Amino acid sequence: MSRFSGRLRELSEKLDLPQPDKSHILLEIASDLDDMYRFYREKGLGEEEAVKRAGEKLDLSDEALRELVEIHESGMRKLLGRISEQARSRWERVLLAMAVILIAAYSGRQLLSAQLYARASRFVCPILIFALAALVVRNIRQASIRGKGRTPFPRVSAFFQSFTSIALASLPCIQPSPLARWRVSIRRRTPARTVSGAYHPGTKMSTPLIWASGRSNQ
Amino acid sequence: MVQHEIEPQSMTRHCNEALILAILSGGERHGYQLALEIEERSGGFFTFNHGTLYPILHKLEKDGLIKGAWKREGPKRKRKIYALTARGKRFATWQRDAWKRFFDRFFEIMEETVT
Repeated sequence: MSRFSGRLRELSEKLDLPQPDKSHILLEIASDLDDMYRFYREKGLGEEEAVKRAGEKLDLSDEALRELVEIHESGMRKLLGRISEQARSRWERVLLAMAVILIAAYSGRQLLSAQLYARASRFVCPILIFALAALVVRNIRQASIRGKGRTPFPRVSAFFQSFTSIALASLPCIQPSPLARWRVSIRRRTPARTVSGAYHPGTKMSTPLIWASGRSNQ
Repeated sequence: MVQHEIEPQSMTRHCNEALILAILSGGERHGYQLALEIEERSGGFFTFNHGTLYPILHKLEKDGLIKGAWKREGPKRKRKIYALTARGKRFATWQRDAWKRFFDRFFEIMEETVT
């Protein structure tokens, strides 16, 4: 297959697709090229001529490559492409950037809030664990594809990638997280005044925070 | 894939799809085999270069009409084999009838013009 490596590298540069789709397409083309080469060799052609004929037969034009990219593009990527195509004027781009920043800031604040996890349903953790497992599997697959021929230890690099993902994604799952504890301690220090005028040591806490702080609500 | 008739505007695409589906009706094939068989069976009338073949195959696969599977051949060789799905079989039958209807209308006009 090395006789077509130049051609395949050229195609790889033009094929703007994420892994593993890109590798699958290139692998398919490579195996077909090899088949064609054998076919021409069996017909009695010399090595150079067979390589040339196989390359000609595979004439993948820019249009065909564009079609392949369109077919394999994900819905999200298509949407983003359409947005970026439409947002051509300066003001449209500024508005789009502002909207993205606002959404990111709001969702970031929500995500960083310990209450979001403390008051969340008990099903959040299992769902997060499943999502995490899916993320790990995806990372391992991608790393094994990217690692082929590039790193001497693709499995090790995949393991570390997965490990990082696990560490990052499991942070919110840890119920008595440092952030949650910090918020509880602030609440304890600032007593709330009720209608009757009596002071209570902190507002009512949700169950996981009570477990985390080791206090009862009463 | 919702199609009602063969559209004259996209004849080439319909024709290529029909040829590929017709060959796959005879059993599973890989990309290169498909191109070769179409060429051989048409006596060289239809020639497929892979530039046209891959986008069609991948589109048909995405539409669920054919299914591609990787098969290992030997220690270092892997090949993608395509086969018709149940939906693809139904579509191939529909498409054959649609082509017949298309040519019936076409020749009606042609014969009227000649006579």
